[in-house]
Amino acid sequence: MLWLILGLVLGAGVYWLVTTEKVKLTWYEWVLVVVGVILLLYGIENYSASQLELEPRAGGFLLLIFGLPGLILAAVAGVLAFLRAKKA
Amino acid sequence: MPESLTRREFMKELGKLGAVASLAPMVHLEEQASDKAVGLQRPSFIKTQDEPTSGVDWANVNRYAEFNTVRRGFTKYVGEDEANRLSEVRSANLDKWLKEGKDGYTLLDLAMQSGAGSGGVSRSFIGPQKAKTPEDLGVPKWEGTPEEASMVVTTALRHLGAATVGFVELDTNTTEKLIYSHDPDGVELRIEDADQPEETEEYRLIPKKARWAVVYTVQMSEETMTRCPTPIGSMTTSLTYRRSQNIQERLQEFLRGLGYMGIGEASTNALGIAPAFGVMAGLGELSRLNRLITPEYGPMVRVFKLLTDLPLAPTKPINAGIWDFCHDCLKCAEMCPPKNLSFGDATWEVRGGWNNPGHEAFFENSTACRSYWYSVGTNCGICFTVCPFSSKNLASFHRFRNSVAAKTRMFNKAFVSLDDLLYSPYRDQPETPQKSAASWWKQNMPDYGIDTYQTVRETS
Repeated sequence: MLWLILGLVLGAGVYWLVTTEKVKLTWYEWVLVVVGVILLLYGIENYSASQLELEPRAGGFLLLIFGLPGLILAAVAGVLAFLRAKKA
Repeated sequence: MPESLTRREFMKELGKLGAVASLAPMVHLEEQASDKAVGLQRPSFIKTQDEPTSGVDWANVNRYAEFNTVRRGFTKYVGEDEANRLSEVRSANLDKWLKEGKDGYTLLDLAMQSGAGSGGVSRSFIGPQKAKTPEDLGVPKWEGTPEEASMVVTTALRHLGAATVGFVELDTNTTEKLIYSHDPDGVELRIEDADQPEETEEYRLIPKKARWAVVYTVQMSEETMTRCPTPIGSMTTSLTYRRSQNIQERLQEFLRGLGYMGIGEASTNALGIAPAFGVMAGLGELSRLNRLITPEYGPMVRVFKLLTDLPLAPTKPINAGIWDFCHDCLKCAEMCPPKNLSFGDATWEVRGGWNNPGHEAFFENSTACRSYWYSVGTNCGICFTVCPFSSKNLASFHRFRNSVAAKTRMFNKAFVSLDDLLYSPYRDQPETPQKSAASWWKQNMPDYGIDTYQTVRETS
């Protein structure tokens, strides 16, 4: 169920990014978003699997180690696109 | 088919057609089974090879007497006075900690330890000999190719509770030397030309025709052993031994039912050197613990073996990068309270009479290990618990780490540091269990506290 929800959210997000007129990402912003989302998903996968392993402490660290850089990369792409849109 | 059919004849012929149709997939499966090599379903980074990763000089390997291990020969190595003193320390500590309600030593924990150590049939060299043989049933004994035999034995063993299964063909100049010269009870193990195994007070006779060793692991619970060194942490070891007793007897009876002999361990840790058989069967690699570490469960297994005259397809030693990883990782040695594990590189020099020469290993000071057991009043297991390969492997990071470690040693130290962060909150206090024993009672664990999903035998 977790992956179904994540898939729907991700699909909706990609659809919005591709179709919206408000934000147009450059190629390197797309790279940042894709790498960021992959890292974030990897962090979530390790977090949820660690809960099943009865290792919540490790899960938290793994989410932090992989998820946080992923979130930062995606946020950097978002900020760059926002600033460009504001300037235009 | 008759030209004109009655309703009854029509149904009869239809039944025949149905039988042929339903048998077709079975015939197909039989063909597949005989064509397909049997092995564990393992990731491609685990390579098989002809020789183990740890060196063996077979010319200098001799059959070893089990009673020289520290398990049986502790008093011989430390002296009777020291053994008696340690026994008194153990009794006093257990009494004190029970009354203090120390974590892991409460009445609840001790009762669970007693419960887990109970049950299980008695081990037997030749098994109960009760199953009907093919001769009793008036049919020829089961025959198949070695690959088919390996497949059915693996399937049977996994259903009976084993985790991973491998096979070693005994050779007089090499692998046969891994059979003990004497069992733990001092009884000699003789290997001679004979039709059937035999057991007397002086010797146990292994017929030369019993050329195949079935080697199998039985999982311990990582989650439980994380509470070591305490009675509750040690309990999974006892439970696994009890489970293995039933597995051995059932395997012996299964083989008897097929028309073959099943020569088992007459007592715990009897018959042969378990880690060595595990390495030769490709179930894992030797390690800094001087025990077997498997790719699937790390060191969190016990290893067992049984001899048979049913021809089996041998499985090869493996290289999963574990032996190399141990050269870069000192975690178990650093966290071992009595510092009995090796801090150096692997060597051919043994540390004492409890080691068998002729192979390369991280030899340990076993007497220091066993003395520590007395002081904590139970077996230890810290080295098993803190090993990075003891991870439960549901989180994909562990599979990533294992695949990288199998290919390069470059990141091994980084993986150890990360393991410290993730799983060893008490890295600097190794005698403190990494998780509280009290929390064990609140965990929602699977059967036996183990994950049986990993390592499904290759079937397609």
